[in-house]
Amino acid sequence: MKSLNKILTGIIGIIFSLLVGALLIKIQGNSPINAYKALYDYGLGSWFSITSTLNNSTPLILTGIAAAIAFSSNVNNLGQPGQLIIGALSAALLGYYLPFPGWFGIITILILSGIIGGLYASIAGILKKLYKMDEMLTTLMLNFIADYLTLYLATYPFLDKKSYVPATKMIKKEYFLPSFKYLNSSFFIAIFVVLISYFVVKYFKKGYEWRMMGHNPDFSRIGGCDNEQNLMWVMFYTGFLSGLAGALLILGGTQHRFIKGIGANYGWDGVMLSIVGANGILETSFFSLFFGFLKSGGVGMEFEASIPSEFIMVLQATIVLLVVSTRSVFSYYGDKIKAYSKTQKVVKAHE
Amino acid sequence: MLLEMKEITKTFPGVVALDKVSFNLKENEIHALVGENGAGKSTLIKILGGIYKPDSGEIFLNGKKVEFNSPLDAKRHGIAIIHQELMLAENLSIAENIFLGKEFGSPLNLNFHKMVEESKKYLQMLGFEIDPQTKVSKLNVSEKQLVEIAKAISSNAKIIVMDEPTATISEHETQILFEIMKELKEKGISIIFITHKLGEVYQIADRVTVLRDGKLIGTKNIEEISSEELVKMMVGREIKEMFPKYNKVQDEIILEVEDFEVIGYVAPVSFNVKKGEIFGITGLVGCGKSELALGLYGVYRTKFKKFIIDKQPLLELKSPQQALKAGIVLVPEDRKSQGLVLLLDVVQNITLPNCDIFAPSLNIKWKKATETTKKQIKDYNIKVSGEHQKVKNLSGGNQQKVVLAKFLLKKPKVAILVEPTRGIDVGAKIEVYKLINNLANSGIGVILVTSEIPEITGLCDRVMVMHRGKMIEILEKGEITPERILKAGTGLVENV
Repeated sequence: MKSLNKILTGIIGIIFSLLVGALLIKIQGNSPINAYKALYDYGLGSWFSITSTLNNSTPLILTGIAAAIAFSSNVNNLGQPGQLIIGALSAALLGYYLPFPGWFGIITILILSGIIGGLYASIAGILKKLYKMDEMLTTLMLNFIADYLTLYLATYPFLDKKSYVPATKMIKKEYFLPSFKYLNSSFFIAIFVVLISYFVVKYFKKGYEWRMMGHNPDFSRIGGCDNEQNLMWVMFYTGFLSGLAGALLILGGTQHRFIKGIGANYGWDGVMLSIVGANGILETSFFSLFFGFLKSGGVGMEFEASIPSEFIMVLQATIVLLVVSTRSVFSYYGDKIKAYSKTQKVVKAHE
Repeated sequence: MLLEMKEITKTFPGVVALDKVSFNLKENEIHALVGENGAGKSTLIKILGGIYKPDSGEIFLNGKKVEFNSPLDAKRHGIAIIHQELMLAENLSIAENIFLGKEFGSPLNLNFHKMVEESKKYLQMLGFEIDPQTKVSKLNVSEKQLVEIAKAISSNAKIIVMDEPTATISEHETQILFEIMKELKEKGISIIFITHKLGEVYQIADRVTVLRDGKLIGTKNIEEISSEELVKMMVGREIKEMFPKYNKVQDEIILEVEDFEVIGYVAPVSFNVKKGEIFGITGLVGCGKSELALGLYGVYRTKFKKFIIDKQPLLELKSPQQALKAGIVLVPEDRKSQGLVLLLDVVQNITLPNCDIFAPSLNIKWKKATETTKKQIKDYNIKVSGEHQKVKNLSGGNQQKVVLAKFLLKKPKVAILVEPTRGIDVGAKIEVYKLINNLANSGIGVILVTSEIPEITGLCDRVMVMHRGKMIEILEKGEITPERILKAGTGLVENV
């Protein structure tokens, strides 16, 4: 019920933002109808569009729930971009150097890249534990370090000599994740991870402790939980998810190698998604699919209606703002209406 | 008549908060407003302060009908309210706080000098010797109250409303506050004084008005009413025993500490608690009693020579986990911020410290947790609509019972209760007292940390009195009198 509520308010917010988007398109002198038709055609219109939407949403799902789990545990992990890119580079290197056979290699790469992403996030946890440094700042700064460190590694030690841009060598063919009718199997891995995460947060002791820490850290401390340790675990787990997202980009994407800019905006989109999904795991995953749709449909808008692809970013930002405001407006007036109807009942009973 | 409120009615979702309540205030009067939690005291005050608008009823000020549309309106009519949670800007100086909203000088060029000078005048009226440029965050609660009062006088308030001003300050500071209230009265200011403590009503008030369940029970001159009658008016039933006491102290010692030091807060103390005993710890605000309690629970850094619990020596105490494991539980002072998650239901609140019961392996057995919660609700007589009701919607007394139920599920050996009856009504208090007795009788050593002297004299078998982070003395059963406690608590007795 609650999560349906979150999704409904989200959808209403999205409808409003599409209207605002239409206005913006109109102002620029294009036809909103044509633009949105192209968005639909390239995002959902055919089987190929649908698979491209799902493929696009794969990394978003993982970074989204990473952010959602962190924020709902009161851990301000803003390091998804860095953890993702570290995971991606690890996967690219492991994919080239690892001597294991096919499926075994794939599993090893995915798990190891996730762990490396998790360890990278844990740096912020250690800094918090030892020096009480605010994890919001450290994770944010670690993004820059990750950015330039991976760029350096791809430009110098691991550069593919045949490449014109900083890129590593392509991973072995047997580690490519297979596609079924254009739908890459990395999507299923992401869904599987969503289910596990949902289960962990809802039914595991640790997950419960994380949630309680998110609601009220004093409560969980007095209640006998080790907040510092839990913070480390949340950091590691969410870092693992982002790192895994990066690894799936390499193993499941189209490039199969680490190239400058491969992380795109997936990390930050994840942070946005967790806001739109109100930190719920299922809700965030649902909206990740929608953002994936915008990404693949945005290509269509550029092709067919010559609307710059940056427009999708404007639309995404509008969505975040409007969903958040719709939600607070709804809860405000919803409470009022509930209170009013209750009063009426009491007054009637009084008479 | 200075103020008359006639037949005020106000409804909220689900409740009639005030049902045709009339209230009046004479000039030069201290008028106590009493009643259990949820009696409608705060609602009445908020209507007077312009925060709520009444559904029906009229307000007359000096015989003229007035209508308050905003708190500012009420302020302009000379009504100042000092809320229980003080509304001061912590990072500003005293002078800046006093003149907030009515500063001297132009917006671009404030006349700080004049504000400081004027503030000095008002503070001196209150006998409060302090530099007005001191930051408010450096003051303690009772000093902050004085700043609020100075602020009220500076805006020419004719009526000052104090909402439970003595709830968070010590006995000694209360006396100082009362002196000031008397002086204000002589200067022609009328005071409405809300309190839970009946002794204070007799000490300071001229008249008393009792509310119960949103209805006016009566207004009496203070000479005309005995305390038994007053309690009866408040709770609507006889209370033979305000402090039931039937615990039996056993000979066996359950907790013994030697040279226990809370680093930075409490100098080394030594004491022991027997099975079935209610051991009190008391002292003024800031004496270190809460810190000692949190130290015993492993929240603060501590040092000790000996820490024996149920014959088992404890080697180190560094975290609440270790304390819980050793069999110590703590019911925290501030239930809203440390004891509960207000937005979640009773089950989720009760589960946390009991994960080892509900989650033997990785996952939590919510079904078992729900069943246990149901049982706890019944055992502790918690009034809820169901185990999935949000804790936010429970009354203070029931919230406190949830906190108690949560920690006592662990079957502890030592239970530390810090101010367990703060801000809850008389009926619920008695239930908590009975619970404390039952706890002790089940063989637990109970440490009751409280600043309410009647609780100490009424409940405790022995009491440790503290002053400025030091133990002054431990009073034995026969020695526990309010005078002895006050004398030790204000540091008048030398360290024994």
